[in-house]
Amino acid sequence: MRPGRYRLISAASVGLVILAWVAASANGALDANKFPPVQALSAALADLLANGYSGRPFYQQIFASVGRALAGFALAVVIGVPVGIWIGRSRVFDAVMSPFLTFMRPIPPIALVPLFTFYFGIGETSKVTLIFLTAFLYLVVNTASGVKGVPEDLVLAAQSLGLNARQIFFRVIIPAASAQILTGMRISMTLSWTLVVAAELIAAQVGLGFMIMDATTFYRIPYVFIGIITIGLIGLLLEGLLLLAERRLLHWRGK
Amino acid sequence: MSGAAHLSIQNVSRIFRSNGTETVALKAIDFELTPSTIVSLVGPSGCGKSTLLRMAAGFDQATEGQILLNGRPVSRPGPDRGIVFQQPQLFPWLSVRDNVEFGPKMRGVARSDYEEAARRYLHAVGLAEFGSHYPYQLSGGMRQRLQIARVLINEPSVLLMDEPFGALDYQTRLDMQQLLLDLCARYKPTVLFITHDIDEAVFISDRIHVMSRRPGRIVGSFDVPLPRPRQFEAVTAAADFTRLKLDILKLLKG
Repeated sequence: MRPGRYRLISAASVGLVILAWVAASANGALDANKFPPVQALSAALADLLANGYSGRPFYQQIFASVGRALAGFALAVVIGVPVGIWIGRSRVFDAVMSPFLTFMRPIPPIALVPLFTFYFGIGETSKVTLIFLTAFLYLVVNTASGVKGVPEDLVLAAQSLGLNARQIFFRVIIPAASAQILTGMRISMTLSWTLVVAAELIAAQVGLGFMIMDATTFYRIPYVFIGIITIGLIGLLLEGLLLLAERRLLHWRGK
Repeated sequence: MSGAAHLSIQNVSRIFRSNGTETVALKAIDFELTPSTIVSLVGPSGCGKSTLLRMAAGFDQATEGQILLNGRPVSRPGPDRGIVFQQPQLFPWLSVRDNVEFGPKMRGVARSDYEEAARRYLHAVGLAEFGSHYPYQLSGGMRQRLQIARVLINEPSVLLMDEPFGALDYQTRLDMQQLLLDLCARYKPTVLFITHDIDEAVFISDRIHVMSRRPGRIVGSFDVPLPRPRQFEAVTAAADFTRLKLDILKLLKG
């Protein structure tokens, strides 16, 4: 199928669902108090843009969430990538870290929220730490496996071209592992974003997660919908940006 | 080339030990490669021929015996011995030209020198037009040409080739064999060539050693009495070619 035709069908599909929504609201099939009509959403959005939410402008709610996610993610990249490379290169360090990484991986990060809130309060530290830890675990494992996956013969070829150990590390192993490192970064970015919202649901005073929790409590359902849609759109945007960077940096992988 | 080398394989054995069991991969291999000759090792899979080549490259050490390059024991990898793998080990993030220039550049050769040399060797292997391409854009045969150019630019005194054309289709394989002969006539390296294709071995070699199954030993050695330069059509029609091929086959069937 041509990409143009694919997109056309996708657009028509979305249009049809919105149309069905409008129709169901109009003939009363949907209870407007529980599942608001489309017009109510635009009114809620206009109100959010004009007056903000809970005494703060709407953009501050967004920036609070994005800021936490990016801070935790950036910290995870700065620490997690070098640690992952080290694990990939050293059997000893691998053996040291492996039990903890293996144990931590199946624990849903959300299970740590109460404890982190107890330790660090409901401010920024608890959320950034939680995101950092989750993204870190994912990045370390991906980076280590990327480094371990560098073909032995590629390293031997480099040795026989006369490269020294330092050159082999920086000019062969790191670039050869970069594809998997970048994929790990993209996925842990998405993880960070889902997690920040989940953490804010439980304990926060500002942020999109806080907003949808608070709006539900006070029965302001259109605001909840706007919050969810905003979360989705920002998630797409963040992933799209990293996908773009990945394509640019890894152009040599071909299509 | 900067002077072809004499490679001497002296009574080499290789024993792998793991979990208390010993596997004798190679047993008392002994032969000489005189400068600028092409010597092939023919044998069944798992006969240890790649192990021997890896020891000559300096990736692995003999359990007994030694390998001498111009009288000096081989102890580690180096650009004086160019290795060509069956699966081209290219750097996919580097362009074709950068792949060729990578070795000399990393060793600190002057840019003006290696740029000129890269042009020359890319031309020699027929990739002059593809300098800015990336490996993923090349066919299997072109990747192998690139791997050869990347090795030749180091002006190695020995070429170590591990079934380099084994993964290519028949037509491409014939083209690559002819290319190799042309390059050898021009640069005159000493070549140790591993293959299980008897036609290929007879067509390109000056001398052929036939190896047995594990433990790998040399069970027969043949000089190839065919004149150079060789043309595939003419050589394969010659009576000497067929006779030698059958002798080797008989030995392999053992």
